Amino acid sequence: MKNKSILMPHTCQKIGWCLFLLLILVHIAKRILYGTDCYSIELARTMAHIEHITLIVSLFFICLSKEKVEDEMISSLRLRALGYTAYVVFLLFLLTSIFLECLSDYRLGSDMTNPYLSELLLLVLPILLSCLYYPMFKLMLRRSRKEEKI
Amino acid sequence: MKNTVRVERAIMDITQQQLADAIGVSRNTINSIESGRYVPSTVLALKIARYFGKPTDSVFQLDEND
Repeated sequence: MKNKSILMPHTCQKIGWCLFLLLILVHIAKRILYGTDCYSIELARTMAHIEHITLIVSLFFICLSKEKVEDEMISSLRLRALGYTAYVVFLLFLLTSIFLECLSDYRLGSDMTNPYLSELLLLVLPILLSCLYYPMFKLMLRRSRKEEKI
Repeated sequence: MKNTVRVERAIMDITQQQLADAIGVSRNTINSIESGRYVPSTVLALKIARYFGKPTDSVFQLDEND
């Protein structure tokens, strides 16, 4: 009896890390070679789009790939990390919404909300989820291995 | 839930790694089960008991808090 895993093979994690490192290197090289104002806005926008998509793909590969030995305890750690991430994301979105609402009231003297907020949250959501979930999962895994040594 | 995995392993004179390889889990999982930090699923408990050739309820028992 075996539960089918929806995670990608461990190799995808390596591909994800390679893409992530490549992205950082390209970003640094771009800054060194071109600075901020040496290429057109159109090119900068295209580059930003490509970088954003590459970042999402690399994080997708890193977060949703199996560990070398993926067993049920690791699955339970993943589930717990996902649970904590859900709590943090909900709280963060709630606080951000309240903060922006108060800010717009203070600035405009009306109950206007930021019209780009939902789009911004949509763009940030996959990155935010990955950045919270993966370190939390790795931390739990490391803590579990450390407890083993004690 | 308490268990006698460590005792059974000592009787059979095998390492955590050997047991982990035989069952198909990581050594960390076996260690966590032995120290009571992780309660295995029914499938894993059955696999462990079968490996030791013992009934499942002689390897895994409910404790007072369960």
